[in-house]
Amino acid sequence: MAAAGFSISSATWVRLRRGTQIFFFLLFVWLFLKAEYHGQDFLAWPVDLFFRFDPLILAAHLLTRSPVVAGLWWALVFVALTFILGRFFCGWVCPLGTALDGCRRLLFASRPDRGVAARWRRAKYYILFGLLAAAPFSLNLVGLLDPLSLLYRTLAIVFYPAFGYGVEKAGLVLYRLGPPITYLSEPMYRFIKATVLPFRVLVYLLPVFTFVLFALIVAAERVDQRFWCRALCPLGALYGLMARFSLLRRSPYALCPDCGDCAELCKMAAFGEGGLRPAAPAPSPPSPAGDGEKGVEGGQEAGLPGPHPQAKHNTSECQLCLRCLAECEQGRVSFTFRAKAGRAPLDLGRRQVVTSLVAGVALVPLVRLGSLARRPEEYLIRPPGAQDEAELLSRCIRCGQCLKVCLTNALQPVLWEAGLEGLYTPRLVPRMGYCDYSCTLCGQVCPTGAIPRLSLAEKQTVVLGTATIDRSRCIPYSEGTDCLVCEEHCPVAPKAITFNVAEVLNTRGDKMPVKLPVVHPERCIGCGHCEYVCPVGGAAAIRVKRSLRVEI
Amino acid sequence: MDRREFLKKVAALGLAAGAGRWLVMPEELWAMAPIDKPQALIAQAQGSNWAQITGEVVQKLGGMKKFVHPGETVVVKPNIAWDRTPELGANAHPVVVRQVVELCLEAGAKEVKVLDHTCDDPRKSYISSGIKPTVEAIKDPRVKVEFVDERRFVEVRTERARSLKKWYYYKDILEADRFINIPVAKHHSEARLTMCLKNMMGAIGGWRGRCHVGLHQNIADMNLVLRPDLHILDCTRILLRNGPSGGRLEDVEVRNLVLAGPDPVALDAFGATLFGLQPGDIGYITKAYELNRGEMDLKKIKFL
Repeated sequence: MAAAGFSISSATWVRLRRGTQIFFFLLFVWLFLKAEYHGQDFLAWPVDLFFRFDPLILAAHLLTRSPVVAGLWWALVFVALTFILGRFFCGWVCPLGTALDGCRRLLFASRPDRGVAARWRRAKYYILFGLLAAAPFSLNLVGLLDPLSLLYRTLAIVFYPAFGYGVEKAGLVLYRLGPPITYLSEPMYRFIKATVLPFRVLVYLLPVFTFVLFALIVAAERVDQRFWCRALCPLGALYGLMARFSLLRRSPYALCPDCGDCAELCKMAAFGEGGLRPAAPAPSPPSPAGDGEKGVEGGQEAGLPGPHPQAKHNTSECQLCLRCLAECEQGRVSFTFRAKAGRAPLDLGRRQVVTSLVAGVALVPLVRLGSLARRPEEYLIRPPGAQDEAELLSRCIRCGQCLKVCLTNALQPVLWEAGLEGLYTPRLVPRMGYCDYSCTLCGQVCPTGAIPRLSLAEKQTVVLGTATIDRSRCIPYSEGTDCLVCEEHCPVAPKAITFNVAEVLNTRGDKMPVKLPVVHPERCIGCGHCEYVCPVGGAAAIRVKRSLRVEI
Repeated sequence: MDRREFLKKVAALGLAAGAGRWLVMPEELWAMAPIDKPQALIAQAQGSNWAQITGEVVQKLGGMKKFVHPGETVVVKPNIAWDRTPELGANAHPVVVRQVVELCLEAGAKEVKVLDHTCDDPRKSYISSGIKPTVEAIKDPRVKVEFVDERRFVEVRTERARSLKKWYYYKDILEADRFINIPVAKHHSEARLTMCLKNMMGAIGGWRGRCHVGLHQNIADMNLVLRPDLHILDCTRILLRNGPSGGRLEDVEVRNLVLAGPDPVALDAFGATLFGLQPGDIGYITKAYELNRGEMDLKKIKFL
């Protein structure tokens, strides 16, 4: 039964919630797929939509005192909705939450709550406070734990490339088999290629590391459902802090003294640890998979100690999944705007809050000491317009959209090359791809302006680095035969690579007139096309380095 | 249908398909191209209407019907290598390409594929060159402007080649009934110039940068395998410096000229003179001549 004014049945509410979850998840995936060049210089879809509605990103962005990006103010819509409805985002919108719900249903048998996540529920607030306390010192690490960033980046680095590679490989194997198999396989392959596959096989660094991080979050579902959301998610914590003042409240506000099913049903343990019954010492028989509720009822009949009668509903934890509404046999539960009852305390502890804030501040020097000791790595080439290392690090939310959208698969996640702080920030790896001369896509998708939105004319003059030739490996210099592939591909006009004709001893000892490539640093923009095409095996004989033109 | 039954059916189908493959599939047969020297013939036409002069040169050679017969599949390979706009002279001009495609259709071609293995990103090059939009504007289902499919590069061994004994060539080109080459004449630092023979770099796969050591012999060698029936050398505007990708209008010179003929060596030999060079100045022209791929002596070439 819903609040007065709502006339749909309670089971419909749950179906509606599930439908909304699936809708937003599919929207997330759809926008993910649309973050690709489709023949237009400007992307047709607002692919960074979810990140614009993320108040955690907005909060960190404001705290780092970065120039305001207008798109991020959309997050205030969700802030306002949270003050009205509560933490609906986690139950209705969050694509990571939906992914976790889906993974849990697929992978794990349902089981009664163990109470681990409930005991750890405060951790997410401390993580949030720590992250936000570091932000004014321009250490912006929210992106590492923001659920949207985390999911996007995992999709981009692991799942989408794995899927793409799998389909391409299968397509190749079937294609090689020839007809009549190809009569069936080729139309299927072409269909998948035209709809969901990337134009070319995408590959990224750090796939295993990224996968393990995600797998741990999924594995935590086995401990307790929505473990990530309840114990760790800083965005969930931020919404929780706001939801504490939400207008929409559950009635009854505490568990009924004669029943405790709500506490059992609640996947967020919104009734706190007190609301959870201790697990049955020896449930006999063990409840079959997918039938947890009956098992619980059985436990109740066996006369186990009942729930804490005063366990109050905590709006900070409730994600409005509405299962308690749908499952209540007596029809007592409703969600209403008119409740005046007291709220369950957030109960974070002043001492712990202070500790987490101090820890966040202390993180600033700890994380940076290592990278302060040295200049940025020589081969750390940043996307166009993001040459100011400090500015990039304080603004980047590690979402991985630039990696996904990059035309040539050139942008790759950083592990430790930019210091601990730089984890998952983008870098150009010219051996894997180059910065296309007529492309501005990475600046278009970046939600925080860490990679600025540049016009094509501006972008073509931005210097990412400078190509340098290793004469001991370059073919004309070392073998005395012509090559000049680097010069051929240089997109700058006039070319930043030219050649001098000089006599060089070839491998037989003859003096040969050879075209020796030379780089003109004042014209080179460091796009890396030369490094990409260099025919020397392994590391190229021409490499882009951070140069004087990048760092003054 | 239960699982067991399903698996049985899948296995049976698979077996049938496998057996079918053995029965149906013949050895891959490419159109066996003539090994003789092509006729040393150059048709030329000059004028500011580039579509019209393209039509004229083909007409001078006897019309497209001489090259393309009804029901044949044609691959047209313009130079679409670079992400550059038409006026910059880095790619074949879209108007010329469109005219050639239209002539093929008029001649009754069953299918006309337009493709190139680009240097810049193909999605970008196909559009900026103007070739994809212009050719697709013909709106004929027989015309396909396609990106190359990496799977379709097949290894070909060439005994007569001197250095490029085996390499990867595009299957659609090898299997097509007719193959038409539309290069643009332009400067190229390593090869000096790029015209008909060099444009075949866009019909091969593999790590193409690795062909650039010993480039001249490699270009001549790949032309033993790739034997277009017709070359249309686009000299409507030629790129004099900063090639092959160019990027500046001041390096481009408008010549309002289109050349055509069946002999790539003859066309390249004459093309070199447009840049003030002699045929012998360009390594691959000499090497291709030595392989009997065509005539480089300007005096022995017949001009129409």
